[in-house]
Amino acid sequence: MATIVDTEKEAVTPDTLGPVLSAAWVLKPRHLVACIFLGTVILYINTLPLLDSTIWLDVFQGQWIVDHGVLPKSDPAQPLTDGMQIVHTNWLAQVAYGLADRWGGPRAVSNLFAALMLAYLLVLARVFYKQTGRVSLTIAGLAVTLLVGATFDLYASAEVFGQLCFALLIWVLTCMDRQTLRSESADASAAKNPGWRVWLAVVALLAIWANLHGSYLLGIAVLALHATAEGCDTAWQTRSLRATLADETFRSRLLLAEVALFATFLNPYGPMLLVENLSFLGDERLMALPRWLSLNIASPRGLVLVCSIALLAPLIKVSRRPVRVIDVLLLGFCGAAVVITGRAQGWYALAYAVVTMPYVAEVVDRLLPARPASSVIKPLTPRSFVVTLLCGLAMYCAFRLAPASRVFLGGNPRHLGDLIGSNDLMQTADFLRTNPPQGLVYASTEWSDYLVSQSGPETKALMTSNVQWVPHRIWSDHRRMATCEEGWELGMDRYAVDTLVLDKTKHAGLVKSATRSPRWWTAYENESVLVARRVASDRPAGGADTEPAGETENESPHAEVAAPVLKAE
Amino acid sequence: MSGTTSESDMMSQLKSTNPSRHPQSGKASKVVLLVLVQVVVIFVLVGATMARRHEQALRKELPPMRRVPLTIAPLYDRPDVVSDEQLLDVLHKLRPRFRGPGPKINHVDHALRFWGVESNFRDPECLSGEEMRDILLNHAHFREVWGDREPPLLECNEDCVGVRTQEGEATASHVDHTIASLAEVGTPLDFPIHTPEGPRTMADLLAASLRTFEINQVEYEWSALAYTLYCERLAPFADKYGQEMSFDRLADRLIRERCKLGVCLGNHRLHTLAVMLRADEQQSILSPGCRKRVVAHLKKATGTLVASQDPEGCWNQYWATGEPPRAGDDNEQSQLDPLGRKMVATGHALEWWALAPEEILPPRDVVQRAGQWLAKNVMALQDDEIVDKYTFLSHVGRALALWRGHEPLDFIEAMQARAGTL
Repeated sequence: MATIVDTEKEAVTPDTLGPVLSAAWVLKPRHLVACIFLGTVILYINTLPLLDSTIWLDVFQGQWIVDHGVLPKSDPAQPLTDGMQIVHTNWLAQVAYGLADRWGGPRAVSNLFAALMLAYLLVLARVFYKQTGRVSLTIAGLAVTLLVGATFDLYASAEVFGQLCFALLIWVLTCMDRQTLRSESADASAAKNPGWRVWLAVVALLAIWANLHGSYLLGIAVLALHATAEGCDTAWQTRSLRATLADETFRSRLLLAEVALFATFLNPYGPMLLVENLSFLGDERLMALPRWLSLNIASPRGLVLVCSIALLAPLIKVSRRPVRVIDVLLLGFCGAAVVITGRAQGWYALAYAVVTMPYVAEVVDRLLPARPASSVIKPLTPRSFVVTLLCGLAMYCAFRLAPASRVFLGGNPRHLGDLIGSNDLMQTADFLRTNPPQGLVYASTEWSDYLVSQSGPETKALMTSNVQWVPHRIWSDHRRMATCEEGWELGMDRYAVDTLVLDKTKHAGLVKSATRSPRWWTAYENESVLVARRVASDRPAGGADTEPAGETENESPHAEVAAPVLKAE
Repeated sequence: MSGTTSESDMMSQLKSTNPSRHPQSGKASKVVLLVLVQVVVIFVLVGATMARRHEQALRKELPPMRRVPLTIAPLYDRPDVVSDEQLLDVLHKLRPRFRGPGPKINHVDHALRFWGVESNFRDPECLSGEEMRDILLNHAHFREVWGDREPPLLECNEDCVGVRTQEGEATASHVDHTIASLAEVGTPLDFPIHTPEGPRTMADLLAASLRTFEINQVEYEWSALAYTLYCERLAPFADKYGQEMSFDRLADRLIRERCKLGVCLGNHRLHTLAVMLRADEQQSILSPGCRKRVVAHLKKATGTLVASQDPEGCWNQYWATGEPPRAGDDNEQSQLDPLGRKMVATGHALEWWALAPEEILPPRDVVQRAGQWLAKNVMALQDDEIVDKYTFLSHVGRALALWRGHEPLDFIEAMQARAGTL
């Protein structure tokens, strides 16, 4: 039987109702806006399909590395690359993705990507806050970065590791840069000679970056540009080479860049990695990929570049901040990189925001001077924390709605088709897993990336997105076969392709030819994918409609193949 | 915020330096040190670039070659496959009667590998082995038989010499067929060749083939055969697209496609694989794993052939289906008549079996029936048919001789010697 215990009520005093949190937690509406912005962006990123198929290749390679404990000498996803020189420029990122996939499947890969993007945005936010000292401009900086790099940033691949490293490097450099520090008082002399922690941070960052992604070259370039800018400044002021060389700031920046360069040699290939990475820039096969295409001024990418430059001119004119050499060098370098290859757009976006935000801050400071902090400290009340609570609510809502939270909070896992952006492709991978191919699979490089990773160990592709490892002839034949040029069947024969996974839209010609050919039969089909398999028997079913290849020595048995299609080289 | 604190820590590490506090000599030494560091950096970067270039140059360096190509001798002597008399009759019927203007180059190089360089015939219509080799390797002789209007068979540019291929009757029928034929008849690498541009050697011909080769090219059977006979090893030599070559890789390439694909109904791929196995016995060129794959592939092909043999003893164009010929197969339209197709399939199969290790061979009666079918049908051919079908009949003749344990010319000499003794 329950008893009622009459407890003595404690006396309520103003102290017991007083806030527990300190004044530092009293957030303002601008913080709420920042929380909503960040939460929305991350929610958006976490619900997007993983658009860049190369992430699946990274998963596949990463798992292989984890299983074997060494880097593969040839590409296990593309057997015909055996004997080609292969350099794994992002093996560490691949291992991370591989482990994520092993732990939680494709959903964990997606979550890892979202976490990396969040880290990237948070570091950037810190950089912009340090540059501008304003929360509103921090959000503006993030928005500029995402908008200018919009056609690029939301791709998911090992690149996100590189972007995070790049943001971290910019953060360190911002700390060193006395002219961009606004949020905290900076000692003007402090930036002259970076302390050992900065050295250590840069060296460690570059060493890890070199193993994560080939974009570490940009990091080296940025450090070198900083040293160059410092040298230019000193040379301009002193008009003396000797004085420039003797300048401690210049020397330390230059040495920092060089030590960072040596740190990047801590990778499985040593200094050769640098040379190999540079050689990518001239690779015809890579440059033909949509992401690597050089700039077309009429494309959205070109327009973004033009608009960003067009906006920069009036901003510099309005701002009273002196234009610095490093700003010119950084923007010039990244702008030139975008012109050469579209892959540089994300990096350009980041550099653009980092360069422009201090100018924007100067203008805003002039037009809207910050209110001086009130000398009278208002007493804290529970209501002081309303915005803080709303900030917490906004972050919680973003987290709760994000698919990543289901790992911790439960709920239906995200549908795999949504995650990869195609239900049909997911079902095709299931089909191949239960009906493994006997030979190689022909598919677009994007689809091949996914299929080799998610269709079981028997699925090997004729060509994946790692086109730089593929012999030139296979690369060119793959492109020609995609458009169903004459001789495509003999090309499939030559490469021992036994399964065609065709996109009914992109491969309309091939779909038509394969379904008409007596040598192929439709093994599986859905709304957008057709899987054709080679007919087992070489004897034509309907009688004498074909001549077996190569029956005579008097004429080329490969006359069909020798047609311009597959004999171009 | 924690970030602020750490940054403050970081900033506190940034040291302020007043240059005026340092003596001038200290400054100078720092400048010297800076310059030295730059030298080191440049040295490392240049070194890395040079190392990569060196590595690539190594991959372009031709592999070591033997002056005299390997000889792959026949392994079996089976009179039940073809008797002495039958073989002599067949060989007599298949003598190279190509003297006269414009002998087809594919006839000449097939006849050369069939009869060898030392062959000489009483029949004035026949070309001797040396004459045949001379047509292929001496532009003056080629011009004698083909005239001035025909472009040279030996194409030359600055540092490269090649055989014109698949451009008509005055050219070779297949990529590197001529080189492989010359290798099979034992042409040494220092053998002189005479191009329109001046003298070269057989080594130049082989080097040009290696430099233009790529593993995924359309025709590769004879290239692989020539490299097997001439090269001690292939790695780390890389093909023209940078793919490192090795005999394992060549073997895998030969295995890769379906059985029926390739020249002569896929038989030349099997022939080259059989030669590779034999070469591997002489000078280990295949890895144990690859050797196993080759043996398994050839055994599988043998199994398919056994299953698809016609009761009469021959095969047709559908041997790779593993089913015996059907009645309708002969009605198919083709460049070759039905008999020709059967000759191609049966003659080539018997030829590579004659060189293959015993573990790969079919049951005895399979070879016996095939040999008898060939002998009977070759003897029934008219002279004009023999000229028409000479290329693959040369394989038939050589196959039958090999099954008697000899190259064709050796067999005749052995017969003559025996007759003399008797």
